Amino acid sequence: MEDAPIQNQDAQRPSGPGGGEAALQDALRVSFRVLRFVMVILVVVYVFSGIRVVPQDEKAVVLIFGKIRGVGEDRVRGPGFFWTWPAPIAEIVPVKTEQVRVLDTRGVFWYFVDPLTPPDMEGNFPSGPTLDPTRDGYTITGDVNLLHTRWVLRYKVRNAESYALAFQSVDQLLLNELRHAVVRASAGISIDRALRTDIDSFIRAVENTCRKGVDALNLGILIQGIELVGKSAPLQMTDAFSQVTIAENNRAEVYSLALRDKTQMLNEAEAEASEMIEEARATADNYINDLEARADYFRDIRGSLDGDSDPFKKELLLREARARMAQNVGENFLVPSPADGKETEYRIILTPRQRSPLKSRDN
Amino acid sequence: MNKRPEILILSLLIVILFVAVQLFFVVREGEVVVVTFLGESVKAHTEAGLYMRKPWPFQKNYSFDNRLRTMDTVYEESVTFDQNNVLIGMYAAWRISNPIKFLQSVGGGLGGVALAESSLEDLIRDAKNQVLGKNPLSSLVNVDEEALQFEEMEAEILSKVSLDAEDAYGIAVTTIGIHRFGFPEGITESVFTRMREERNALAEGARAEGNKEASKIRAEAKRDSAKLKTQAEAQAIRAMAKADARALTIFDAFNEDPELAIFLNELRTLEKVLNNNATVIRTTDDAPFHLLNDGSGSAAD
Repeated sequence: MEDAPIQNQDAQRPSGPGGGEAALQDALRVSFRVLRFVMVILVVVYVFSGIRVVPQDEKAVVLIFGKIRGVGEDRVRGPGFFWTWPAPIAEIVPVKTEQVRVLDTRGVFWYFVDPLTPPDMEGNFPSGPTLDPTRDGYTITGDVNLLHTRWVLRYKVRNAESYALAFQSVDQLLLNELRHAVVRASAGISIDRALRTDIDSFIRAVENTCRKGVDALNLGILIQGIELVGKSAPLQMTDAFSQVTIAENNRAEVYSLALRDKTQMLNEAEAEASEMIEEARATADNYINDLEARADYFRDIRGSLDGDSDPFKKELLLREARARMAQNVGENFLVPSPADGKETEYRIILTPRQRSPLKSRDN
Repeated sequence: MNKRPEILILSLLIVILFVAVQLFFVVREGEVVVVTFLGESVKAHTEAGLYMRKPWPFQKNYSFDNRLRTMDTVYEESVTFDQNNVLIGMYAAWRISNPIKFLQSVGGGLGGVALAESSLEDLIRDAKNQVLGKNPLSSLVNVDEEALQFEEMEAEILSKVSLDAEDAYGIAVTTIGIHRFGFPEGITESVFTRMREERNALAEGARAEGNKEASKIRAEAKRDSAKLKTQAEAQAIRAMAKADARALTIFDAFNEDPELAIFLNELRTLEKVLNNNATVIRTTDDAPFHLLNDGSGSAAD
């Protein structure tokens, strides 16, 4: 069934010298049809190739014959799809505006590390007596010391048009501004401040100088942060810097010990002072209480003596007191009275008892 | 022909394309195009867009990237006013301000830009050496911000370079800065020697300062302790003074019979003194021991 039409066509073809011409005409007719079809397809493809999609994290600038299309905010296309003339009439310049870009100074201000030479047991890399300017990077500090640092800058594109079309390489310009800022900030700060005691000021100085330069160039970017990711004194100076650190730690230790002693001394003194004051108050109170009791006692005795000093009663009072005393004393020595009235010498060793002047007031 | 319109369309398209290429050119944003007619510069197109042109060989276009670009100078040695050898690397941001002059002075293509940068570097080197030769090292590095002339020196270099670059090459230099600054290799060794001495002095200073501070703190502590004790003694004395004042009022009671008061006071004192630890020596004449004697009589107290 399938072969039948072919056979019929062959049967219809003119034979002889005019048959070749007819076959050529047939071939051309088919070719033109194919060509027409291809042209239509190309036109369709060309027209549809003008559909552009801008992803969520991008913006795009459309150039028509090299010139930015649109006015004002329309000069930059946000995320979404749109149609524009295909190339070569239009050109799309995409810019990733949401992407955080990172620049790293790497070895620009850092010492050279030979990848084939491993560090020693303490993690230090071997170093020669000098710094080779062709390999080693560093900055000079305000007190003419040498300092190694490594910095990272993070930024995002703020103005896509400016970023894409006004600068040949924003990264290169920005890196130069960062390097300039590091050199400038180092030149105005001492190595101790930059390395140990005032690192924040150092970072702030770099950031301020860099921002100033970027603003002046109007790079169309937003610096998100500048970080000091590495800092070091020259390797040749490691021991000398360690000595200072050790000495400063010792100073801190001595200082801390002194403070501890001070606290202890003051606490002891405060305790002693409190005790002294409380003791004085107690002594004073006791003294007054005792005196008041004696005054009461005096009034009672005087009342019993009927207002008149009776010598007999007083004598009895004295003798009663003597009796009590005789019972309470530690040691009693009773010596015979010399019969002939001659003086007799007795020697007794007594241990003296010490009493504070305040306590003695009780007596 | 009418039977084959596709041939006609295709032919027309090819002819239009050819004519368009010959008669039009595009200046892209960030580009500048200098048009020459029979080898002579006649016009510079700095605005982006579609422009007509005369066909080859009458007109030739030279296109340049006119976006702001940056270049680095060689990191090389200079001498400061106080004869210090330093290494300085600079960068410059520039663009073409006068395209025709630029083309005439350095030529077209990448070779022209390279020659422009090389010429610019020469201008920067010259200006830098002049400015450094007038300033000491302390103007470039100093912990005293007011003594630093960093920005001023950069501004002076920029001022000199931008004038010459504009006049000679049609280049606008917008920024010049120092982005690398160091010492020649031989000098770094002597810098290390000085740094080491400084570190030793700092270490010594830290130790001495620690001891000094500690002594000071301890002395302060002693002083404060003594003060506290003195204040406590004063308070104790004040408390006793109050007690004595109160005692004086109590003593009024004894005024009614001073003789009895003194007698009772002495009696009490005796009782207190002669407590458990007291040692008493008495003779057999004392009462009540006189009772032990023959012919007892009254006690001689």
